[in-house]
This record gives sequence, C-alpha cells and structure tokens, in this order.
Amino acid sequence: MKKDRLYFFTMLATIAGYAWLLWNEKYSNLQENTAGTSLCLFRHFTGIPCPSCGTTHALLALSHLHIADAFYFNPIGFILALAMLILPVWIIRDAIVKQDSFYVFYRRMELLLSKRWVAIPFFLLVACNWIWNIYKYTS
Amino acid sequence: MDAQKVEMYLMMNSKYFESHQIPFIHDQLMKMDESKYLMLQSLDLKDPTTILVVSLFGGHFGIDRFLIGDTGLGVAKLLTCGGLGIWSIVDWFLIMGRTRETNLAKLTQLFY
Repeated sequence: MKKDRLYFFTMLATIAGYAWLLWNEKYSNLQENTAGTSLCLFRHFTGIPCPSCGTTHALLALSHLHIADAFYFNPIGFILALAMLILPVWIIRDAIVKQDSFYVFYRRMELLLSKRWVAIPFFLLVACNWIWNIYKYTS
Repeated sequence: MDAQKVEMYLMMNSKYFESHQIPFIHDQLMKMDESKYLMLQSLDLKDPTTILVVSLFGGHFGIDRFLIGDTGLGVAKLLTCGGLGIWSIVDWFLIMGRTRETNLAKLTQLFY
C-alpha cells in the first residue's frame, strides 16, 4: 500500500470510529448489557458474535474510565483506543515535519506479523478472545 | 525469453492480471532472462475469483486481506468487526482488483 493512501485511509477510519462512538454515546443505551446497534454482519447472519464484537461497548466504557468493564466487554477495545488516540497525532506530525515514520512503522509491523512466531500467538489470542466473546454474549 | 514461452505463459496466467497490464507484462517477459523461467513458473499468484469467494465468507475477519499479503489491513479488519461491517462489503467490490495488483507486484519483483 502506498504511503498517501495509507495515511488517508487511516485518518478516514479514525474519523469514522470517533463518529460511530459519538453516535452510540448519544443515541444508544449501552449502560445495560444489551446488544445496542450492531453493524456486525457475522452476528446478523449467524447469531454468533465475532472476535471484535463488544468493542464499541468497551471503548465507551473506557471513555468513562471504567477500565474493568472495558476489559470485560472486549479487550480489543484497549488496542483500538490506543490506535485512535495515537494514529491521528502521528499522521499529523508526519505531515508537518514531512517524514514517513508511521509508514515505516506500518511496513515493519506487517513484516513482523508475517513471521510465524508472531502470527501464531497473535491469532491464538484472537481465537481465545473469540471463545470468551461467544461465551459472554450468547449465554 | 522465448516468444513461444511468453505467449504460453500469458495464455495460462492472464486471469491473474488486469487486461491493460498484459502488454507491459509481455514486453517485460520478452526482455527477461531465460534462467528466471523456473522462478516465473513457481510464482505464488492468487486467483482473484478464489479471493472473492474468501472475501464473501471470511472477509469479515480480514482473511482475504491476509491471503493477498495486506497483513496490516487484515489485522485492522479483524479488530474492527470488518470495519463496522461496511469495509467488508466495500472489499467485495475492491478485492479482485487488489489481488491482480499484488500479483503484478510479485511479478515485477522478478523483472528487476
């Protein structure tokens, strides 16, 4: 992926993420442990939550500083929260000082993830989280 | 490389590339050294139709992106419920073109 496209889509995704969170904060009642408004295709078709279902709950809980609740809803929320906080700043910094440090970092992470000793633990973690998710949201 | 071999290769493998890229690939293959023929044959190209089928069923988890080598985007898709479900639908339309693009990128590595 080319640098400009990566920066553009990362910004777009972050803005979409913030918009989605704001919309949920305003219009859905996420205080109770209900499904809320789910755009998850997998859940709509199969009735089983996907590995990242519950992330919206987790991010909203985090924004209210309910750390334990956020962990319960979905630990992936922590990763996304970090990404949503850091990436826009990083990209704007890169644009101002005319560097490509985020692009270099992205390529390095891609290479790292294609190594077996990183990929297998990563997918195992995601799989464990998925099993926990199914247990949480279907029982 | 031998013209007959190039014609043969393009006949067998044209589905992996965009049609407008074929003349470029033809020219480059003609210029290529004969010794790279074996490497050319063993190149791991992905079939766009197969990837589309994967995208329809596993796109939500980013499996399509992982398969064509866009690991970063695959992870992003996996962790965001397929980009809130929207990205996975958009990818049904984009993934075949992207697959052909990555196939060409793999091929061009052989040229230079």
